[in-house]
Amino acid sequence: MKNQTAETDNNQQVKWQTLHYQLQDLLAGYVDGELDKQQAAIVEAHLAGCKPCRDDVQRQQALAFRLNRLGSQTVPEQMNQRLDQLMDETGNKHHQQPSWQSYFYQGINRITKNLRQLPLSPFYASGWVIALVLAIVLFLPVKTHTLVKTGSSHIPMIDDVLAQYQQLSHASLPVSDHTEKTVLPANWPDAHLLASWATTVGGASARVFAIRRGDQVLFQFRINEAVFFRNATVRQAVARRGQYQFHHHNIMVIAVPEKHAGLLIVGPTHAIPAIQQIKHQPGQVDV
Amino acid sequence: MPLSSHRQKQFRTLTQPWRDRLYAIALRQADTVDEAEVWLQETMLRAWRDMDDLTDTITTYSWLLKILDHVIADDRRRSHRRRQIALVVNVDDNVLNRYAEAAPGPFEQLLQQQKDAQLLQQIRSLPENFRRVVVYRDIEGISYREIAYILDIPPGTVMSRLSRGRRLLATQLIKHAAIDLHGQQKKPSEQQSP
Repeated sequence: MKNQTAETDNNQQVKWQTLHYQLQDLLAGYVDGELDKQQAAIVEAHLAGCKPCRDDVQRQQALAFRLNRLGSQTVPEQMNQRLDQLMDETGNKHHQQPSWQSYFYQGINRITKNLRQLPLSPFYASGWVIALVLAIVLFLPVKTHTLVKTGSSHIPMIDDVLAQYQQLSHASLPVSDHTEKTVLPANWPDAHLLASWATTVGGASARVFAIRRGDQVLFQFRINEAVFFRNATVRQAVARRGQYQFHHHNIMVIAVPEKHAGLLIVGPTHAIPAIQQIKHQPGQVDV
Repeated sequence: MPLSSHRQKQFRTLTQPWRDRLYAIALRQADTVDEAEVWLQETMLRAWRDMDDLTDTITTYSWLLKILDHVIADDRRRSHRRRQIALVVNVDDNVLNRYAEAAPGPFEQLLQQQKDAQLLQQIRSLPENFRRVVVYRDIEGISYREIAYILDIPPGTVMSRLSRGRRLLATQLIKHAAIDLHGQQKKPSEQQSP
């Protein structure tokens, strides 16, 4: 009887150990919120009775937090020039100028490829009518502001500057530490610097510049480069159009990359200057 | 505007914002600055060649990272420097329990005391498969889905490699810290002093 109990205990121990090792592979997902509900429930049940795994979770959290704050490196200027030169040479040497016919066929191929990916039979039924409509839609010029959105941005840096803008709209400006030598990151003909102070955006140091334009006050936030490029939507918009825009009611945020920093301009939509009017003064987040 | 220069302009607009980040990633895995520069250059050339592969379903950054990842892997394969892949890495809990630095509080303190260069050195010494996911996820903040795309592996594998990579990295850091701290204290001369 004693032997039987010991064997059962041993089996339980082996099962627990196996589960323990299996669940260790899910701990990163638990730390990063990547598990589904069922997986998370299993891990939590195990964590309740397993100190080594609880410690592991805490160590992973600390590690991820610390690694995310590692300093970044930038491409040396000389290398940047070399790359530009290389791309120019490669482009001129190897890229044969396509004829209008090749563009036509590329377009047709793209349409058929897109249509083939549609999991619908109605296309086959409606035939060329749908094909024609889709072709028109595909060839319509893309509006410059396709990435303009409304409502909550779900992008921490955008939400941060919107919250600060709304807060500052109802309060007096903080004490400024700007001097005569303070240079606006983005300048335009009727921009007047009112004040500048240090703040945080996306959990990192940033600097705010309050600007008067006519009877409106706008804010520029020069923010950390890593924070600026953290969001995929922003990265994609910047890569495609050089900037990201976000609309919230009548407030607008423009996000423009700078060398070693990012710039967010926030203010009433009608008071934001056209991008062509803006002159950039490169600089880093200096607080 | 000639089509080739239009294409060049388009390429530059798409890729230029990512040069610094790609360079930083290359540096974190390269043995020398020159090596990182060669990798970046090769990445840009391949990106230019394969520009038509960039579709709306992929972010430009992930696409470029995937190319860089292949460039690094190819280079390592060519020079026979592909580091040994540790198939099973299970750090025994008992090993960690031996060190006071393994407790969450002291471990956090240990991390704060580590200089960036020290951390990077430990990351570089991780087996390749673990190093890549740790770099992409924890330093670059890329999602599991995108890492899966870059490395051509299922998202579940990203998770297990990340769990093991972090665990291995933590163990390395703890062991090094323990050696630094206790190694000196255990010098025979110090122990025998009256």
